[in-house]
Amino acid sequence: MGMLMTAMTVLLCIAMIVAAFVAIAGKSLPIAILSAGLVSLVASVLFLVLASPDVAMTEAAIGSGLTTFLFFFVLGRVRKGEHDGGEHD
Amino acid sequence: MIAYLAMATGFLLILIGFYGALTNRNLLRMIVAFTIADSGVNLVIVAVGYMRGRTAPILDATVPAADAAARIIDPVPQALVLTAIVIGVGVTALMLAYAYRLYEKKRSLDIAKFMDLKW
Amino acid sequence: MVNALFIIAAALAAAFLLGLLKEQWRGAAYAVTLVALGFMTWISADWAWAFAMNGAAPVDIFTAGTEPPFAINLRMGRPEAVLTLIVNLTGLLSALAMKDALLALGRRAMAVLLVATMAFCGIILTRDIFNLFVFFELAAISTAGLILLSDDDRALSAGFKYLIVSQVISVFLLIGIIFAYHATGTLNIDGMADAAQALLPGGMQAFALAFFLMFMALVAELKPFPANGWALDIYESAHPAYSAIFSAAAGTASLYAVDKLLLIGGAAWLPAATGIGIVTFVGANLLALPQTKDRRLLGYSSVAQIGLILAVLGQRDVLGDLTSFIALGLLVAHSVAKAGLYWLSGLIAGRELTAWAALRGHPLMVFAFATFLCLLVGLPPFPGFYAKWELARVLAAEGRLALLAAILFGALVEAGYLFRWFGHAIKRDKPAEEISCAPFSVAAVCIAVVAGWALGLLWGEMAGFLFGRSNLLLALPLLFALAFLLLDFLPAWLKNTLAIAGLAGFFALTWTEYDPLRLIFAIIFTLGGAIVLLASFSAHGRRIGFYPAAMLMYAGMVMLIRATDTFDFFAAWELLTVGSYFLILRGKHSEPHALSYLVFSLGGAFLILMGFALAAGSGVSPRLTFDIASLSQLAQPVAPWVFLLLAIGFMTKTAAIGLHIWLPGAHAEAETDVSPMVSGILLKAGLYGLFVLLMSMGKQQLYGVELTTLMLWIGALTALLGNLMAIFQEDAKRLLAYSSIGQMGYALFGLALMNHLGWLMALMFVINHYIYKSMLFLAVGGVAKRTGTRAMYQMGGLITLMPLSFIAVLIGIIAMSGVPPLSGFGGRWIFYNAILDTDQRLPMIILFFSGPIAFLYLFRLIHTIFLGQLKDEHRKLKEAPFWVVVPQMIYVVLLLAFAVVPGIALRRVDEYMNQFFPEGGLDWSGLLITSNYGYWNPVAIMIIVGCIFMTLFGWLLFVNRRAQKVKQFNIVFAAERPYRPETTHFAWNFFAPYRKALGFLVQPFATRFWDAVTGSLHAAADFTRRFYTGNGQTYAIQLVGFVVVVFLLARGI
Repeated sequence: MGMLMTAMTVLLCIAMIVAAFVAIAGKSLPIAILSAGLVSLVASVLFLVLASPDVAMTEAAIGSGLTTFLFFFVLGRVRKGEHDGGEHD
Repeated sequence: MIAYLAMATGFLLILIGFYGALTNRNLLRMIVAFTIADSGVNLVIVAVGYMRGRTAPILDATVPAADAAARIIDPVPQALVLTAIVIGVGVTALMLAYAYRLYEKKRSLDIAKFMDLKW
Repeated sequence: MVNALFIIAAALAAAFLLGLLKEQWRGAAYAVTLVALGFMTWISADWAWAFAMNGAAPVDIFTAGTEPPFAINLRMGRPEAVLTLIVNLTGLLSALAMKDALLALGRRAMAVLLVATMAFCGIILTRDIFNLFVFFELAAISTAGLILLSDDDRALSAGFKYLIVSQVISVFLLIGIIFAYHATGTLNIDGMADAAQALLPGGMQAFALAFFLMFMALVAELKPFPANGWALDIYESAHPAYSAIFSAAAGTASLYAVDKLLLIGGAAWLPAATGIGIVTFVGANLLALPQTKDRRLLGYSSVAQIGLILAVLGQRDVLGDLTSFIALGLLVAHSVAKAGLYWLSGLIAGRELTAWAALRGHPLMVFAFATFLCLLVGLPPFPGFYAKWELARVLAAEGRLALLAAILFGALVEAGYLFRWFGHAIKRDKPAEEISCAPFSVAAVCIAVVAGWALGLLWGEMAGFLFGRSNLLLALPLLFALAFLLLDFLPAWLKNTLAIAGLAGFFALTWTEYDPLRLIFAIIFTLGGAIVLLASFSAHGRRIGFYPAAMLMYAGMVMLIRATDTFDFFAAWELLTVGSYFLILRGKHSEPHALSYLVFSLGGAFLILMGFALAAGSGVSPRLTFDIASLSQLAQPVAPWVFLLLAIGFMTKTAAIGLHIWLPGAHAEAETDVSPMVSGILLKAGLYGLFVLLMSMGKQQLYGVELTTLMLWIGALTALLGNLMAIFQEDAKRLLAYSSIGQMGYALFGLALMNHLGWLMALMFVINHYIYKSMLFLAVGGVAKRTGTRAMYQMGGLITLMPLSFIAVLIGIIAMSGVPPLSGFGGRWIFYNAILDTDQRLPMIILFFSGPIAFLYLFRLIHTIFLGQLKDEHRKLKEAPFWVVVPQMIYVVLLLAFAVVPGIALRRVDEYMNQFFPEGGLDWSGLLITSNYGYWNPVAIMIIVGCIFMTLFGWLLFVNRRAQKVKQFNIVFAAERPYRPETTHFAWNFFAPYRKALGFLVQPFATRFWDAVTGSLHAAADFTRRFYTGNGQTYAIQLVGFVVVVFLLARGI
């Protein structure tokens, strides 16, 4: 059981890091936002592994759901500025 | 072991988040990076509270109040994290509102364009 | 007393209530906001009163019914009461000042304002570290929210930069909190402090790192230099009332949070706080130098003041119980002044510093501006002054002189740029836009002014309670001067009568209390001042601002001679400096000169402060006060340093060479009746200081150099160079000003001779110089008034039109040059007797040399103005105004009397000096005055010279009857016939040959040196401020870098 938990934890951590990198360095902003949401989601699973179910629920709802929604809400309004500050330095 | 893994990942997330926030010039990407950093902080806090072999701090039939002290992990960090998550989303929402307003005023989301006040 | 939790509850309840009101009911919403803020203020005030008056004990409020660490507790103690009072009052008054903005923005802005104020109170009240984090986040969110709602373009980018940095700070803070919790097991601040003591070494390391993160996060909230670009943008762009809150309330709350945290960390972290604080103070003040925007300048100043208070908190280990007295004094002074200045800036339309000239013509606003600036700089009688004095004393006692020097340097720079701003406001042209008269904003400013003065009174009372001193603000001379502020609406002649009566009356009341030496100075300061004030009767109108400034100066001088304690002495010194600055500033072209005067004077004053602090800290006097007389008991190695510091400070006031560049401009550009006051009377304050210094400390040696010999050289050089520079002047008043420099050099020389006759000579100089310099300035001023110019070569031939002025100048010149029969001759005689005792040959020769040089400019004065040819445009001139002539005639009589019976003034002083120098005194029996080397018979000299004069004069009158009158242009030279007076009167560049021969001596070395100093400061500041690039990311990176650097430095230690 312990080995399984540890292996799962390692997998989750790697997934989080990869998603974080995508969120930072990814070319497309919607993909970046979704990756950040994925980081939150994986984090909430990790919270479950770490014996904090209420934190997991909160993180899933707020960190993943609400935040991603807010991002897309604003992104819709500022569609034109999506690529500002990226390529042209 | 799990706790150390989680803590390390948390710190790594914080570093990645800071890196993204301090090098990306697009406002929205900056806010995304800060979200990641916040997730990392929350992970670290929860990981600090974890104790091996113990279970969640919920008192019910399986974990009666009498021997709870020996069987649950530290509940305080979880309380802190709950507050921190909510504060984090509040600040994120505020920053998004700023990004929206700034876009309306300046038609740009590049932070290098907001340097009218200096020295 | 109401439970302090209601502060938070009321704010939240009101904010929610606002949400229930309709959007249109803005007035009602505003009323609710004001009521809530008023209620919160009342609670804080009630508690503060209870602590101050009734000796209440601190109360802990347990929020969940249980004690910590199972619940959060708040504490309402004495510091919390005062600090929450500051926060709530600032919030309330800012809400008043923001009335229009809030009504326009609606309920949301009002709710956010309430939450912000509540959050700052929460930071102060809480005793739980995570609760502290939550309140900080609330403060950050409400700050950013308010800025977002204000919808100002530039403020928006500033707000976003603020949010970026606050995110970084909150990450640091959270990580620090959780690991600190992990190490100590509690989130309660007091519990954590106790647990931290008991940690094992291994746990200590981890805890230290956690504490470091928390500490840096909270310190970053204080906007330390250089990691504070984000804050400066907010100061510059937000609504001024909000900047007031940001500066006063947020600064107060954050400082107290750091103070609470330092409880946990213990003494090991205090040096870090001091280091960051002092770098911030000096750095931010330096960077403020090149600023031209008012609100940004105030932002830099805020950052600097908060840094200073942080540095004071870091000195808690040596300050002990005095920490709260000092830190709170600086904090309240800063809060009231900054808030007031921001509210005042809300009334002014332009954002440039020069736009504040819109205040001209609004005496109340000018007074408010002046009050706030004096509060900030820490001038008496405000709290910052008391705080600075105690801080200096303790730091000097502990040997932390580098820190003290850095603090004083930063304070001097701050005074420089703040008063440069004041000069702009008073002297520049008024801009097109008038100041707005929004009643609530004006009310907020006025309340701040009243608060400032009330706090000065309060700190005086506290100082009296702690140290047994009398309250400065309640000293009679100072009250008399301040009364003129209230009486400023009266006509000038009435105020003048009151002033003269006050001076004369004060002398009549107190003259028996002085020893003979102080009596001379007292006569010059009070009765002498009264005579000079007679000339002010010639002014018309009301002369608003003249009498408070002048009487402040006189009050300072009077309090100076009455001071027995070094604190009173220093307070009087600063009072007379401030009063004379405001007085000199009134001259038409005096803006840069008044600033130069103030900076030099304050620099000298700070040196004096260091000297007194060193003396007080040396442990000679067991009590907390230090008598001037105790200076004599100082031992090596402190004594010569104290002597050096005090001597340089006093010599700044007497304009010794090298420190003299402020004097010509200041005295020449001052108004007609002000120049005699500052040149004739104020310079004597410096001499008085030197007298006191030499009387108590005597000769001192520093590294083998005899300091009084050094003073001798300085005196001789000052006399030579001052006189030399005077002869090349074309402006009559500048000539007299340089002459004052030279004469002060003579007096300095006499003092430094350290023998009986030398001191007598110095004293005779004091009396003589007062009489004839005042007379000459008045005469020249009167002539300048009539002719419209101060350039001597444009005058000429005025002897027939202004005979009384001519007589005054003639008598003055005869007296000054030392020609018999007037008193200058007696002074020379004493002087020669004095030097015969000394073995300092070279300075003596230099001094002899300066005598005839002085005569050159004196002759020029009378020749160029009164003799020579009358110019066409002056043919119809009248004599100088009546009231300007009256004091001159009084002086003429005084000079003649003094010449015949010098014993009136000098005899008792001579006897008094016997206690310092038993040998070398004069013998005053009969009409003869005998010294070791010869005798002097003033009556006989007067009779002889008088007879010779009458004989020659009579013969001249007789011969003149047969003289042939020649028309002005009835001369021919070199086959040219002149037709303009200018070409017949040799007046311009009169001493050209001397300039060729000796001009090399008067190169403006000193001016160039001081210009280089200020220039390099400005250049350094201009270069360094490019650090603040305007890019929010850069600011965040700078913050992270700052944390890393401090970490490495702390590791290194």
